[in-house]
Amino acid sequence: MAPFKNFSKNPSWHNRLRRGSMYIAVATMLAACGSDNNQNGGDWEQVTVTEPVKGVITTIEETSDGQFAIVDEQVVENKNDSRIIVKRLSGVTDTLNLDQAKSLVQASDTTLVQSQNHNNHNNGMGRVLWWGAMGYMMGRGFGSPVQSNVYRSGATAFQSGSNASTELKKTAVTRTQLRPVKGRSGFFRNSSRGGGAGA
Amino acid sequence: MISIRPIQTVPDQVFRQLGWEYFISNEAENYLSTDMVQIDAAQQDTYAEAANTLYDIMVQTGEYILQKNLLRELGIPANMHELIRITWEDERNLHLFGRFDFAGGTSGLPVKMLEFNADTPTSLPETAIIQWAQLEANSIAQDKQFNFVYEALIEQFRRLRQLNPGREAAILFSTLRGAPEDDHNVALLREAAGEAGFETAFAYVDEVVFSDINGIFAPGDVNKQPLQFPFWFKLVPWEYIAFDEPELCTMLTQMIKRGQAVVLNPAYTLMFQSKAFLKYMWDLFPDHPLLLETSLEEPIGRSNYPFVQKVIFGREGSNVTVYDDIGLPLEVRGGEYGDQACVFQAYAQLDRDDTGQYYQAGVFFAYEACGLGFRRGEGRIMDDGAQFLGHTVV
Repeated sequence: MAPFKNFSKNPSWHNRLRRGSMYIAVATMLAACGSDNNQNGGDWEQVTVTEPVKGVITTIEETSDGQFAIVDEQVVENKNDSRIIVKRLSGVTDTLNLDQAKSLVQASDTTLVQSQNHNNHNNGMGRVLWWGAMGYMMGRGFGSPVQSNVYRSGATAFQSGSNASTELKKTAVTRTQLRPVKGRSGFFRNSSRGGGAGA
Repeated sequence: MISIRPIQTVPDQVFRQLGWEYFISNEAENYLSTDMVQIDAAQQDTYAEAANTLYDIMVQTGEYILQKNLLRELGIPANMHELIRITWEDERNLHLFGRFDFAGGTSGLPVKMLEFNADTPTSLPETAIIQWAQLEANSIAQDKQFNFVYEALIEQFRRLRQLNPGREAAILFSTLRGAPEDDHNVALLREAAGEAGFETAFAYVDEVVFSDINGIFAPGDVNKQPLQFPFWFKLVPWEYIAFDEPELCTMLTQMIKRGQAVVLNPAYTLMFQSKAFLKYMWDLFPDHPLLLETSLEEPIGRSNYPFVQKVIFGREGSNVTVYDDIGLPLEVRGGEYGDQACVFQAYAQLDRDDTGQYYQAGVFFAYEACGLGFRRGEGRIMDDGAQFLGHTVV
């Protein structure tokens, strides 16, 4: 097990210059008490995010036990027609819909491994789907390109993924249309936890 | 005796311009002290080294807790266990920041860890910005303060982006309704995240829309549809979520498991937050000079007095009792957490001033120790009536 190790063993904050904008803002306020320098933001409406409108049919092939590679990705007009066709070593072919495929993706699959070329042995079904064009259907951002190492070697498989990715991106709309179907809100609405959460 | 000096206060107008009205409200009257603590450079280093050392110890202890399946012993409800394990093993779940509460560190008193506020630490605006503004308002040089909290937070948000390639840098901040001081804490975090390149938004937790298919959404107003946020910072303790809103706990577990959202501070910080964790730190590092002996059973025998009884998920001094050196209650605070399990921690001496008031140090940790502030109270238990004091390094 490798727990997070994201803390410093070599502290560095001694005598650093402060450059943050809040310092500059506060110093300005102090220097000119009375100037109008309101810091209140409230611009979250400007966030533009995108979601695909079209769908993808991804064909994957089992290369060795539990290991997969994408052999083809084709865009379909309707998101709900997205499918994953799984060709197993045993000769059996399965077809999964998007929701079934989503449940195969584990958190660890969505971490980009830096040394991609040496990592083909780690291509479980979830990882392969997440890093192909199908990943965009599962919530991966369009800023992140498809990864060649999840495709079968040779130009055609990766090319089909790149083309599908371009097409999905081109036809995507802003995510304001993605009102959650099963969304819930109102948690803590009648909370007895008065006085805040601070510690 | 601790060294303090009087200061000129920061003009009210600055608080108004920052939108931090709470600090000049009647509710917070006298919260910001007109004194400042004076420490020397060696004391500053001692505080920083203590926090850096202790965080390392906490990570090692956390690993031990998970290996030995001790989450239940920490008082953590079963519906959090999976999420704690998932987030612990996935480095995308960065622990943004926490705050150590220390006894001692001044007047020759040894630094002792009282607790670590890992999940929803507050007093950010006063530590990061207000005490710095006090330097400015009193013409004290900028480098005379151990305070890089704001810069360290910006660095942490940058690190968070680097650890999450392919995830859109948009973060939603939430608090529980009705606590303006919490809102100010989050306003500062929002500013730091913005400087690190995040798109940011705020919504009270009861307004946030959760979908276990699609993720976490900020509510839309009349003309707007909800917007999805891949990152959510909630100033809502994990144990509140687990105990009060188990359905939300389940939904978040699903989302985080599938990589649809990163929720901060991560679920594993609930381990650090549990005061029963202090017992295991002591077990693994017995007699460590920064630790206080802590037990899940009430100590017997004078050699173990005085001691402090605390509930495992208490806040702001609630449900704490200090027992004196013959084992009798010396100071008692009630509160809303009386039904929780307790830990018993050896008493550590707090520094005092010439009027007899007690002082406790708060050291912020964000990847590393990055800043210091003080609380002052009439009694040994720092509650929400305790004052905040800035400091200067002389």
